[in-house]
Amino acid sequence: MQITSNDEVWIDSDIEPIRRRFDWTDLAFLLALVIGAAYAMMRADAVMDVYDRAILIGAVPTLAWLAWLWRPLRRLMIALACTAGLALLLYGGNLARADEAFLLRYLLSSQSAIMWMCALFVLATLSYWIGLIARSDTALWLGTALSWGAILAGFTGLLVRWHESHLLGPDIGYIPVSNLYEVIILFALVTALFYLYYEQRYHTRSLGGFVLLIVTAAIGFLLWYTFAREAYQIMPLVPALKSWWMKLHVPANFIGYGTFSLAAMVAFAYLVKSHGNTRSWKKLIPLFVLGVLLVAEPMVFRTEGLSAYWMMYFGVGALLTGGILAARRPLAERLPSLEVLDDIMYKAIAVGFAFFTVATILGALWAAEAWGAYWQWDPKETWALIVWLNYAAWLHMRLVKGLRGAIGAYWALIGLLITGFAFLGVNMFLSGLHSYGEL
Amino acid sequence: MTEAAISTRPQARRWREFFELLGSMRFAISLLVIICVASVVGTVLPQNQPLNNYIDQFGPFWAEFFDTLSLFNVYNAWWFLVIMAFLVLSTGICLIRNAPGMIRDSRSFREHIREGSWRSFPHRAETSFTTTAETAAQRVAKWLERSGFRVRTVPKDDSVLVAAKAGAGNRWGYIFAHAAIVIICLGGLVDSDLLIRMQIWFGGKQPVFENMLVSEVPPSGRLSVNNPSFRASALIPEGGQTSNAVVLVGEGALVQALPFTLRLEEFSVDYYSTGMPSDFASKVEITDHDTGETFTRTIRVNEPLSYKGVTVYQASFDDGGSTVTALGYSLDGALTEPFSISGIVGDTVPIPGADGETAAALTFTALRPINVENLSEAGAPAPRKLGEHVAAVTGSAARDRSQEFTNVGPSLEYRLVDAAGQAVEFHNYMLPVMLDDFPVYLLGVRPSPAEPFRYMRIPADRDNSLNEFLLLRNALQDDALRAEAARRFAMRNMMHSAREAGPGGFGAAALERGKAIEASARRALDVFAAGGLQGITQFLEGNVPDDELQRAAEVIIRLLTGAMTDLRALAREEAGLAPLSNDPIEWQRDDTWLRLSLAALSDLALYPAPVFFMLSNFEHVEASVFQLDRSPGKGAVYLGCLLLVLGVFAMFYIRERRIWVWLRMGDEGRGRALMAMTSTRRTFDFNREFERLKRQFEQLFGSGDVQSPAQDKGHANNLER
Repeated sequence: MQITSNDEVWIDSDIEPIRRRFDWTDLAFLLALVIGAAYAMMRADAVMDVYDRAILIGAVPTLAWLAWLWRPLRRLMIALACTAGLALLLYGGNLARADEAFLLRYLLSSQSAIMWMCALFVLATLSYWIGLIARSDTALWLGTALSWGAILAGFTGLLVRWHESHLLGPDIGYIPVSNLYEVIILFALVTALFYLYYEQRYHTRSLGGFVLLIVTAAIGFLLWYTFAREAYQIMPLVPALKSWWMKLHVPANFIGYGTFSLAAMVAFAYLVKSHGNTRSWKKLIPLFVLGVLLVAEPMVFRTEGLSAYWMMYFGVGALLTGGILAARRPLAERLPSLEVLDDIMYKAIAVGFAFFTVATILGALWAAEAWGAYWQWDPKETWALIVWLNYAAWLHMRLVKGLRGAIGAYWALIGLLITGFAFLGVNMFLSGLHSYGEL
Repeated sequence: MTEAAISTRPQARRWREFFELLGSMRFAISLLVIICVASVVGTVLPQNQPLNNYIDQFGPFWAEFFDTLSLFNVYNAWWFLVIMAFLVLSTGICLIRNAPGMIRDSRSFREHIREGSWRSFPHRAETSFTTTAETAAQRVAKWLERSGFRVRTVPKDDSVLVAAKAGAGNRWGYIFAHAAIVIICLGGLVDSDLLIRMQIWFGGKQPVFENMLVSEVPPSGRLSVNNPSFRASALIPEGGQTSNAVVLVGEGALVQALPFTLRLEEFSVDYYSTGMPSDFASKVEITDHDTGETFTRTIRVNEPLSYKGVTVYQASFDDGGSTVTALGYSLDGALTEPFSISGIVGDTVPIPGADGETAAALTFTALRPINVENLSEAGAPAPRKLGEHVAAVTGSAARDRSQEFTNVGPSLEYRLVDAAGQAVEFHNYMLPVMLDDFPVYLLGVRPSPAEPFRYMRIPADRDNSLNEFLLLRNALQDDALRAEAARRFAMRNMMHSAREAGPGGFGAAALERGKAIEASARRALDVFAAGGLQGITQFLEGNVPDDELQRAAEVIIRLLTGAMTDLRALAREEAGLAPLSNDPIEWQRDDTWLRLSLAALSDLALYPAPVFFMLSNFEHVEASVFQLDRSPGKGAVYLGCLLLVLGVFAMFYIRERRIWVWLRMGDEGRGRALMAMTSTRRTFDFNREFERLKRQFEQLFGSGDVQSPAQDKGHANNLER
């Protein structure tokens, strides 16, 4: 793979995933998935209803298809099977082993793995930025490698957490996508994974620093949530959440949130690049203000004053935003062409919109079953609609009116503000049926 | 031309312009933005609350103003419905205008495109071939088919056109997605309360505003069993049944007849090992009114029951008329023995005062047989090293918090309204709760439902009861006993000093000192009895210079504690109880008991009622609250959702592309092939695909100037790959 900001490089690449053959390795992988699913089916038979089983069976072709579409996923899944499988073996059905077995204690137990994920994501972000500033391909490569490491650690953490929740009590186990703590991990993982996809697809690593900024912000939130609020502990589900719908609704939602965030960070890079030769600070003010607003967003919802941690978070965030804008000229040279940035932005929003549509519909179906109405203008539902309408308008403008350039990018950034409110703000600010994560 | 015709023309044009506007993109985008903004208002302002709450919050003028704009009920406001109607109209017009053309276009191969327009295509390529035009066309057709295109070969006068298209599904995506919006909105409209409101406006239905029995509701307040769309609720106590549900309309209600009778056999709550509820389940019996058939079913959260088009959901639960017996403890010294009072939760019973008239009205507001509380006290965290902090959050995520959550047993909530109409709410736990390693009775008070309960702690005595505390309290109110306690305390003190001083220590000076101590102890008791610890503070501040305050406070507390110990012993004597044993462990416990009692007695001075009630017995009856829906629009909405998903994915992931290849024989047996490609969206992927196809196309007949057959064959092989 070649790192470049050259506009024409993509033309020479002949990546055409649609026409790729299905070879014997894919078949072997599919078989492995079938065996894995069968094993899971036998092991967890008691806690699954018919829908859970259907989801498990449906997951096999879906994962095989995804792995075929993008090969690195296959390697990730195999590695995950190894790490999570090893953790399962080490636990041997006994939670106390988490403090006894060395590998569990320091690497594979859910919290250890998640802490590793946090560390690796932060290091990956640093590597990407060092690579971008020092024009070091090695550092950029390291950024990619560390991101993959973080993703492996994060997914391992979630899978093992799933197992731990079942070890906690036969009636407690649930897929770890039920509260704010768990979904923030999911958010970081999904965002990074989509970024890596585009990184490979467009042969550019120069966006890593930008996209991983939001992942790092999520990690910052996660760490605060872990240390200050001890939110990492597994709590049993409230009855309304005990449903197989959660397995579909939440991940689909976070594909949406993740890609919208990705699009916004690419939009930020777009605006930095398009302002590469701007001398007047005045023109940068809107961008700076938006950046600072985005940094401030998770703090706005704090109700009982701001701790030093959040002050520091805000300070660092604002400084970084200012720093990036100050270094716009050299950064602009290293970023891919505006067309590439624009295309990634569009692609990410399109994926996000499609999955957000699915997620909202799944949510409505679930609501119809749990609360007796598929739509009742609950704040979360309403904000999901607002997010959806916002991106629907963006896509209309782009596809029909041919909206390109700075306005689309600003809009994508504002879209992240709205998405951020729908994700974080509604849970903390507005009461409603969705208040699962409180601060 | 007549005058009429002239005058209608501009009007017709205006109509056409109006429809153009409705179907236009900018109108649609504006609508989306307006809906967003209106929705935001609805999430920021709490919806559907009583008007008084808003008046408290915004003041009478703004509350009235917002109410006029229906901002407290945004999503059912007429203007919101109008905006939604415009969205449906706009999308519908857009669809009607574009869909037929799109369908026609997606079927067509556009074989009328002329060879001459080739140059105007931005994406074009050309190459040459040596075979006949027909053979070349076959090869082109085969190549395009293999690339995923649908192909039509059209022989022209002296040339052949191969027209190809792919991704026609994109256009269907557009149609599906936009039709979906219309379908979903219409389905949603049917399921909204519009049909009920229509029955009120045009069907003579009249919501009931006052409290009355279901059987008393007149026919105008009843909705037919055939009502196609409603959202109702029903509260059924265990063992009770209903054939009616209640539909809320604004602040009024309508009675909805059901096609079956719903009987609640049992409502049960399951708990996790941590004590949190894990499941709410209602075992119900359904009796069909038409057939008389009966069957039982269990309804849970996430597992509703559908029968005869009505879906029954487990919405919540409530008290179904539990019987409660409580013991009333008088605090004004009028009654020494507690008195018993019983009632049903929700009922109000009068409390007779000392003069026989009603002193207050007692309402049992809630009975909670199980209370799972987090009793862990968050102390100041010990300073730790960074490594220890990290170590604390690694490992498994299954740190056991369950010990902190404890079921502390039943509790009773009640409201007292005194003769002046002042209401105060109380929440008392039946059993003592271990707090700071000592069992205490918790008595909660709040002046209004908006505030949290504040709890007073009364320590449990050696028998785990309240009795001794109450004895002490009564003794404290008794002048003679206070005097006697002060005397005994002074005596004890003197004896003690005399023992310390040895023989001859019991002199006149000591006697004098004893008198002084007695007076001080007496005063401490009196001040405490009148005003609690607060009173003592005030007393000290009024009588002691500031610099001696600290020391004086210590002295007076020692005096008070000592004198209270004697008062307690006196109280026990009076009540005919045995003196306290001298067991040192018991003594330590008694110290704590006395300290907590002092605090409680002091708090009692501020207790807002002359009596408190402790739960002594109860018979719990639960009630289940069901939501009953008939939503005929659901099918349409779900169909719309399916179309929306199909449409969105088709629009984004099916790219519509067209290719034309014109093949014309030229001189010397060489033919010229021109290729042009187009797409509705010239994205990156399109460019990329074009480049790939262009390369393939240019090599399709060999690389332009094909000389030897061998080379030709090589390329053919290349193609086969």
